[in-house]
Amino acid sequence: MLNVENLSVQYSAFKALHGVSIKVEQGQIVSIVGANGAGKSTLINTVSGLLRPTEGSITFEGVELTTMSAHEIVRHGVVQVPEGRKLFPDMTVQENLLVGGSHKRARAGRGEALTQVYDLFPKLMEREKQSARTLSGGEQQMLAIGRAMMSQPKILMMDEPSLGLAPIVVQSIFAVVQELRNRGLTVLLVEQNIRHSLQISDYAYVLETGAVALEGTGASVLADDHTKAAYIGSPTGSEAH
Amino acid sequence: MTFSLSVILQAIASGLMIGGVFALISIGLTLIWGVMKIINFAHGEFLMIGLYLTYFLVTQFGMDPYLTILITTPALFFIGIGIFQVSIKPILKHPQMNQIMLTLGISLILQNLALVLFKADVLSVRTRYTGINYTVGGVVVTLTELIAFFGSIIATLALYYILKTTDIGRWIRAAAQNPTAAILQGVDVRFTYLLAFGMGSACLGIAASLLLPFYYTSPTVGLFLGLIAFVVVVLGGMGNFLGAFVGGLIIGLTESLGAAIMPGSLSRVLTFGIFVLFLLFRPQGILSKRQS
Ligand SMILES: Nc1ncnc2c1ncn2[C@@H]1O[C@H](COP(=O)(O)OP(=O)(O)OP(=O)(O)O)[C@@H](O)[C@H]1O
Ligand SMILES: [Mg+2]
Repeated sequence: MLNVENLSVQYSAFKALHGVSIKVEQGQIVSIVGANGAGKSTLINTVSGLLRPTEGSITFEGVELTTMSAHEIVRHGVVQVPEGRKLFPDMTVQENLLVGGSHKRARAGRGEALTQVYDLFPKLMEREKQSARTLSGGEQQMLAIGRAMMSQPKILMMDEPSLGLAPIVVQSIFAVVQELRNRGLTVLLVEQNIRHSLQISDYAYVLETGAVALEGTGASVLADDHTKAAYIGSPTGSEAH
Repeated sequence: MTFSLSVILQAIASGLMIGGVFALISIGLTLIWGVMKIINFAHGEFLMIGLYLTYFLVTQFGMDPYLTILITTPALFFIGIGIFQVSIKPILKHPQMNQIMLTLGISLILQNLALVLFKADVLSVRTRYTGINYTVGGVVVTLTELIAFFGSIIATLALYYILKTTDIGRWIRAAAQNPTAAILQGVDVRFTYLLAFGMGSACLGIAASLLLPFYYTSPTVGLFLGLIAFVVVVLGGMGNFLGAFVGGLIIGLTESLGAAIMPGSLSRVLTFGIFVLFLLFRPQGILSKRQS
């Protein structure tokens, strides 16, 4: 479904990705894990068209994305929930959601999508008329996910959705990710919460300093000695980071 | 010195009327700033274009001045987006100083163009609305001022409604608050900027048609009105829609009261004194809590 091949990305003098190749199949949850600065956000932002690669290609359902502008990529169904949520702080919860569903392809089913989002996150319905800045961290993340859902994604790329949230909220975010997959959505997940994300992933890539160091099923990457040592620590210990 | 109550009341009435138009003019400016962080120093000259256009439609074609709104509004919208496309869009990502120089340059070009085309004459129109007054409790209000006031309020409300309830309005606000996030929702932010610039300029078309029947036009008319708009925008908080509206009324009152109670050339001191004080002590404006 999504095919990233030999992707290289450069920030002025600094090369952040070196020939990264990843594949995401329809209906899967695929994880990208890696330390801070490994290039995870860079990868997602390049797929989204916010950054341009110096080399390589990105195709989605056979269509080349690297020549498409970022807003067109969203309209094609490749949508991200950005790191740090990036809500519209002075707009209400409902307005944030409506913006998500305002491009042409999404507009027709907007009412239905709104019902679905409120169904998934009843908290958002209660807060409908509140401005986004007044939400708690967990609610803000739910809104960011809900807003992305509004644009009728075919693949949802989530950049650290559990960042900075209390453990119980983290649990619910992971539950949502699985729920979305059960509804047929394809998910590309970037997480610091490595053990948890690998547990729910069909496939995973470990990114190290801009290159894929390891890949395999979620379970196999989780079982790998190197991953354990570098990112997870002892099986009973706490998560890295 | 003593001032009779009627002089003060008269000043308040006239100040509010013109303040409504100041508000409309300033809302255009604050919209453009709020969305793309461009200070359009040619804003006053765009208004001047609207005033000349109204003047010629009225004098050459015998149009009703208020009917010219149907022409001046789209005209200014398209002039705005034309100038945006050619000159402002290419430098959106450039340092702010370059942008200031560019819009200042545009304002000088337009002023001098007007000077060449229309000479330095001060032009005004007489219409069938001229000379109709209403007196309420000793306060005289002209019909043209009343129409300008209510017309400005209606235009402001209409713009507010668009920004609040339509997709275009939400795109504009989203792009203003977080352009990257807006792009990630599939919003064409460049196009949104274009629309916002057009809408901010279109406000001036409406303002021009409402203003000319009791005002004037000249190549330098935009200097003063543009400056007023900056004062109002600073007063209201840069990018603050409601602030610009309230600020417009306040500056209208200040100008008018200043002229009534202060001798001649001193009256302007009040308006620009407020400007300086706000820049120094309350740069975020009257209404907003946060500094932008
Ligand atoms: N705008 C930028 N300009 C220059 N270098 C950048 C820029 N953004 C990121 N980098 C660098 O690129 C590398 C990869 O950054 P990226 O944000 O993709 O990492 P990440 O894996 O998402 O990290 P984190 O887990 O902290 O979010 C880092 O070394 C970072 O310093
Ligand atoms: Mg990141």
